[in-house]
Amino acid sequence: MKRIIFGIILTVLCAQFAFGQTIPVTGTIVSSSDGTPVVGATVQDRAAGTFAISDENGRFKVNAGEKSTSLYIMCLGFRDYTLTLSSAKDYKVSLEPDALMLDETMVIAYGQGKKTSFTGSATVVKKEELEKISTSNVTQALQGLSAGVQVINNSGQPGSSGSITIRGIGSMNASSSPLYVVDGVAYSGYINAIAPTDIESMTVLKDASATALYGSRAANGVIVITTKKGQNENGKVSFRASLGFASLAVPLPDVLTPNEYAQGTWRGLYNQNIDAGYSVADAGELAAITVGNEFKVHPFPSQNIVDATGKPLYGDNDLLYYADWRGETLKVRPRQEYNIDFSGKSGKTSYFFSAGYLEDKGIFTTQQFNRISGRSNVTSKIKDWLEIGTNTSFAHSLTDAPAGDSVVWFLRTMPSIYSIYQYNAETGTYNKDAKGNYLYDYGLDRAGWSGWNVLADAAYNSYKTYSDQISTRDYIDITFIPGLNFRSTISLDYYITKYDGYSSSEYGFLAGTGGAASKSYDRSVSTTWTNLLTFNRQFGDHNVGVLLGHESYSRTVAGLSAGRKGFPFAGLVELSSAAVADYSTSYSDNYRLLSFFSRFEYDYKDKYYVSASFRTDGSSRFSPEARWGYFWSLGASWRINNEEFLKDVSWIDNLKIKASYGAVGNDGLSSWYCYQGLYSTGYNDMNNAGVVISRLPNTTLKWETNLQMNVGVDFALFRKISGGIEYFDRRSKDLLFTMPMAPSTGFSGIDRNIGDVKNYGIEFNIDYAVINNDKFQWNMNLNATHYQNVITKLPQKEMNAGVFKWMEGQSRYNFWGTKYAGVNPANGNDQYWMNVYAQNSEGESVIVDRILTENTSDVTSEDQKQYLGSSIPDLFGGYTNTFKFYGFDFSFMLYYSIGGLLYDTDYSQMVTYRQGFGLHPDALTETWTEDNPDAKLPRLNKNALETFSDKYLYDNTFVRLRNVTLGYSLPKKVLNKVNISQLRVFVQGDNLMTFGTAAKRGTDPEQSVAGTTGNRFPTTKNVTFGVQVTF
Amino acid sequence: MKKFLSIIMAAAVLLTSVSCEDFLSTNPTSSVSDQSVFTSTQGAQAALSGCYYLLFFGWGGDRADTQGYISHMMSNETCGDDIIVDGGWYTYDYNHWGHQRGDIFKSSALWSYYYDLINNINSVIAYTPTIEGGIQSDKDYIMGQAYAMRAWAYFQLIQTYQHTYALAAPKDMPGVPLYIEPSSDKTEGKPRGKITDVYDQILSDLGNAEKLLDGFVRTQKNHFDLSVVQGLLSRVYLEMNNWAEAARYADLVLAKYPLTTNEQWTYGFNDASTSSWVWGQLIDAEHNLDANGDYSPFSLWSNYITRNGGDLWSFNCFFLNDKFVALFDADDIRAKQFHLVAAKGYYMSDKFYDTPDLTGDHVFMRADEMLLNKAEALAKQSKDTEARDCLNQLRTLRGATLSSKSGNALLDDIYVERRKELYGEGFAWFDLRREQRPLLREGKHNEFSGGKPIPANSWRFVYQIPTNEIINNPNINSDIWPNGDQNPFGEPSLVLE
Repeated sequence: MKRIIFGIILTVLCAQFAFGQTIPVTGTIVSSSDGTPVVGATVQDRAAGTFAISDENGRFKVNAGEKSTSLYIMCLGFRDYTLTLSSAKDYKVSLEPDALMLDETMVIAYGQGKKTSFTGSATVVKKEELEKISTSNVTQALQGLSAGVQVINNSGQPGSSGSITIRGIGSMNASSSPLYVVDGVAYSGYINAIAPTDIESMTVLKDASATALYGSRAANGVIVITTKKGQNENGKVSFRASLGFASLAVPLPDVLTPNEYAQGTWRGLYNQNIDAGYSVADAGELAAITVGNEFKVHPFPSQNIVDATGKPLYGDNDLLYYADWRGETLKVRPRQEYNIDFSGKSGKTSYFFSAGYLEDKGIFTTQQFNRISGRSNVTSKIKDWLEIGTNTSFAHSLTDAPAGDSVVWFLRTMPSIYSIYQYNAETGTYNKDAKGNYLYDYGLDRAGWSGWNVLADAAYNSYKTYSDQISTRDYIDITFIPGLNFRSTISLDYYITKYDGYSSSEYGFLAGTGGAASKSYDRSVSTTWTNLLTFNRQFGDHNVGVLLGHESYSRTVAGLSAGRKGFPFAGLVELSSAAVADYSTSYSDNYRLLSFFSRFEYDYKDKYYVSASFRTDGSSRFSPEARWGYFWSLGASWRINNEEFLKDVSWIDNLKIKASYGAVGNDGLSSWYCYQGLYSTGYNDMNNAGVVISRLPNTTLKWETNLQMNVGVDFALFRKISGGIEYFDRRSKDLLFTMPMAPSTGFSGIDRNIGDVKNYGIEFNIDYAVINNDKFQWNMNLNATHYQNVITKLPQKEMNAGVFKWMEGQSRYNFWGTKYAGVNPANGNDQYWMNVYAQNSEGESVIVDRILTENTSDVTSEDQKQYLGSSIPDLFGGYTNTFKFYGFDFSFMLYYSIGGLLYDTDYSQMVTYRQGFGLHPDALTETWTEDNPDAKLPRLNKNALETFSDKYLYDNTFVRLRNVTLGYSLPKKVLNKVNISQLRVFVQGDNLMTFGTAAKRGTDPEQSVAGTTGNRFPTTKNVTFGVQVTF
Repeated sequence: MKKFLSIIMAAAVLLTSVSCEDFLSTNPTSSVSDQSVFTSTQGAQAALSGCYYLLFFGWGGDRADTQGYISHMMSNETCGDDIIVDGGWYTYDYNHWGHQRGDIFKSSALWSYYYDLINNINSVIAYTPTIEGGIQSDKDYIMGQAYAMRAWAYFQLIQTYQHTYALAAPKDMPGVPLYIEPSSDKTEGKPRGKITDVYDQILSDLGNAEKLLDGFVRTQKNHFDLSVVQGLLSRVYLEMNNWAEAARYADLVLAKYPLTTNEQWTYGFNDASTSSWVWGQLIDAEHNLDANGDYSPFSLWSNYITRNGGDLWSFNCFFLNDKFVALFDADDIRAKQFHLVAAKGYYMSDKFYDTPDLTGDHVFMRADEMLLNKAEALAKQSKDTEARDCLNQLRTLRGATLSSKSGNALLDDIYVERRKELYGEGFAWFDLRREQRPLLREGKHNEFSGGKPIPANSWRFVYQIPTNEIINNPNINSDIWPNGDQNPFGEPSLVLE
């Protein structure tokens, strides 16, 4: 196979073509709307393979073939134009402005394609749209901008990624993340190392026709990021500065005051006493005298905190202290970003240089993401037949982020009765150290969160991650004859991540042992060598494009980590200073791919398009027997509006139907050596090195294959409306499945290719240029996606997967549990529906009735459980409006997600009573009491037995005002006087408003595809002020 | 030039494809292939060392209650009458909220812990004899330790997942699945079989170990040697009510290990070199229960203030019950370590405290237990005088009032003495179960809902088979015994008659 492909490459390389003479053709291009010259239009003789670009006066001169009959003229922002050649020597061409951008080119797999002719499914997101979001990680900005792409921004940690799934969840145990391609080559670095302002566009490739050339890594879709290039003949300098402020998009639930918390605690104790058989009066009395003991420490002047009915005995002003944990930890802190770039074109060389600085401090006290980045992108056509280019970026970043899940848990549930600083009840003052600073209280005597103080950890400990990254794409491009090119690209993605961990030797739980330091270095080197041979020619009405390619990819990750403890005195943080070795370890792993691929494209008269692609990948992740995988696609489209019978229908600008089918792969298993039977090392018995069994061998393990079908219609009407509607059907087969084994065998499971899953759905996108004139422009975009996920084949009848149960015909994320039946108004207990079984006439056990029960053990067996609904939304998408008027620009985007369930344990943990842990305001108002018998939540009780039910399963429909931008560009007349070509000031807000039931509970609706919470640090609301200047 | 460049590139492309299978063959650096382990005695020794790691640390997870044997011991302690868990780790066990249930984490965590270990041991037992060359005694000692470890693992399992032998064996009740060969991808889950099958296997393995370890001088006190095997045999025979053998094996251990002195008793139970320790877990800076000692039982005992001047971190979870403390005589050396926490009415205990560098060892078996095993076995055989002598030997040493009882009263005294001597050492729950006593929970306790007394022989003394085993094992069904394979779980009053 491989040899044959090489044979073809060599033959084509060595072949010679003969071509005829050329004659010069000149002309002027102007805009049809105002007659001004069109600069930078490409004038192409497709038959001869020659082209020219119009100058500042709209003039061009192209060497047309002797036999050529037409020239093809393209320019961004204008409709394409075919100029029929006559005997004239100089032509006047007027181009029609293109409000809908129908003829735009876009970046596709290993090349460029035209939107109108593309047979596959892809969305282009341009820099103007990305710039509207103030994010330090560009993946977050994708939300709502592309149909079919579900972005969940579930983390407010600066620099963190959004969770992206394209067209559903195609895998069960392997990865569901898309492949990232940066400047034409698969990317193996951190996305947050790419400054969003360096990005020209992002293309989301969604179907097999678009992605098959990425073979074994393409099954979950591909996101192609293209960075900026120099375009302007006159060099320009752009500067952008912004200053922003963040807060939580959905604030955490309010903290109860000490008095409110005392009432909640009293209620929990009272209910416990009632259960223990006390009378109402005794239960209240006993609860009242035990509240103080329950708290262990508190700010009340005595142990008499509430009366026998739970009413506070002290006023808020009587308290010794008030602990505002949230106020001290979560603060509005600035986000600053400065970017400057210098770009242009000089003769045959175009260049783009940029530098950026970002300081994103987030909200939590020590959280931050800082980045210094730079890029240089230079291409030069040093000979008629030779072009070289180099695009190199570097980024240095610091991530300081101790606000992990447990910190958020702490912040949610730390009651206000526990002091942040050491409080001395005898003196009535806070303790101070020799320098007069407050001392943090680790709360060894607290009933909850004993021994921990997140502020102290932030102040004394270190959790810093430094990252240094270099990425480069260097190519050489040879034009043998017009239309026949060879391009060889060497790419490198390199990073080193350094972790600096330190636990204080003076304070906290390691103070007794002199503190500890843990350090690690992880290094990743990925090299890709890509060779592409392309051939594009027009033969009369026939256009042909052929691509042949070879690629080898090699990634090595290696790391070293160690920890030591016992520093002799404060101020020392390096390992060499500590007395005792804790651990030390290192690793080195390799992943390699060798690939050959080709694509064939053909179109006839701009009406009928077909494309076919094929790729074979050899992967080191699989055994030699199962190493080579084959991936392919076929696509076709028909531009009906170019048919004779529609030529005269003026209101149809574009009408295209398209269809594609193909097979792509997914190799995203957790381990790089899944097929090998292994013993893990490092399980040592004191000084005797030990090994333990880690996995069973399976040499037949291979890729997941994803068979993808796409059909769609693209349309553009009345010069105003454009859009598309697509139906997709993704069927994954040979799923990489960790097939569970009986745990008594000593293995929890073995990786096998068993099981199929299907995702199918519909996507819709419409752009509407409501008003479009020189003074006022109004554009509207709406996109919507609906998809369903169905397991079509399983290795066994059913599999339990946490709160889900997998069965054929069901979604992967369909919750499985007991049916909750509300609170019993009589006693405030939880009630569940219990199925009553009886034997029918055929002797089968069937449900004949269901009855209420308060006893969880009645309803925990599998036959008492049922499907409770899926976390996958019914519909999601974005709705954007953009206005431009007299130098002002204004836009807003709403992101919506309708349906889908959320299992909210962030909430449930705060409406059940737990000693020493904070309560949600709902715990006081929405729980059952004698006076509130119809409450939706059961009575507060000390650790009532729970079973998984839909009690805390909520419809997670939400709408978010994702972005609002207001900008003003100063008039050119004014700016020309000071030699500034553009100056824009702007203010933008992200996530300013959130609507939906989750927000009312103090839970951010964006949690996870699985619909589960986990005390995540929620996404932020940002307000940003900025200025953009171009010289 | 143009042609030259392109030919060079085409040639380079060709060259890379020549050795593409080599290019695509990569291997891990932190793992080794399963075939390369049992090619030498050193390899077998490494696999055995891995087994020891699993025994002591489990998979080294980030929980205090999944750290191997020590975590099971703590669970057994907190289930009993004497320790109070004041929130934090083991609250679930202490309150009897249903940790025995098959769908609750604990049942499946313990199950997998023992069976992962057994699978590793089975490889050692199956493949060590196939190694060519090497010194035979080295291989024998490896095999002997592996047999002992497997017997220990099955003994732990059967005590966890079935009623006591005296109750269950006559009813021919189910055991736990027996695997004596390493599992492969074709291995199907095995049925529960009979409790007697499991004990036959335990005795057979201990018998092999006894033969193979004769003459073995261990280098570390955390390893199985002949004395540990004899101690295990004493425990197994006690469980099986074979009193004569239980006493005989206890004597064999007592012949080699002296009782814990009072000085040693108050030292913190953190040093495996203590002369009375037969078997224990060694801890050093690199091999510990979390580098910070977080998952070590030492950090659970509420005694940081009294013992370590507040320097060492404690979760402040474990206290002692007032009724239990009242069992001690005032002059008893062991009673000198209690401190009343007035606000609660609980007692702190200084029995266990860590070394300043957090490398305190943990005791698994010591001579004093053997003496009490012997006392119990003798009393059960109505040899009251000899039994009382054993008991009073310990009481004299500790400064406690001597016993003059006989018959059942003497057995009660011996049981109380076990609690007083061995509290915190992992016996409480299995002792209640073996002696078919109820859980009383009298006096001051900190129970949340559910922590009610449990009658003797309640099914609450027995874990259910984990749900994930039932789902994935075609030979174990979810129907409740005696109709099916699953143990009942119901009200605490659900008792095996």
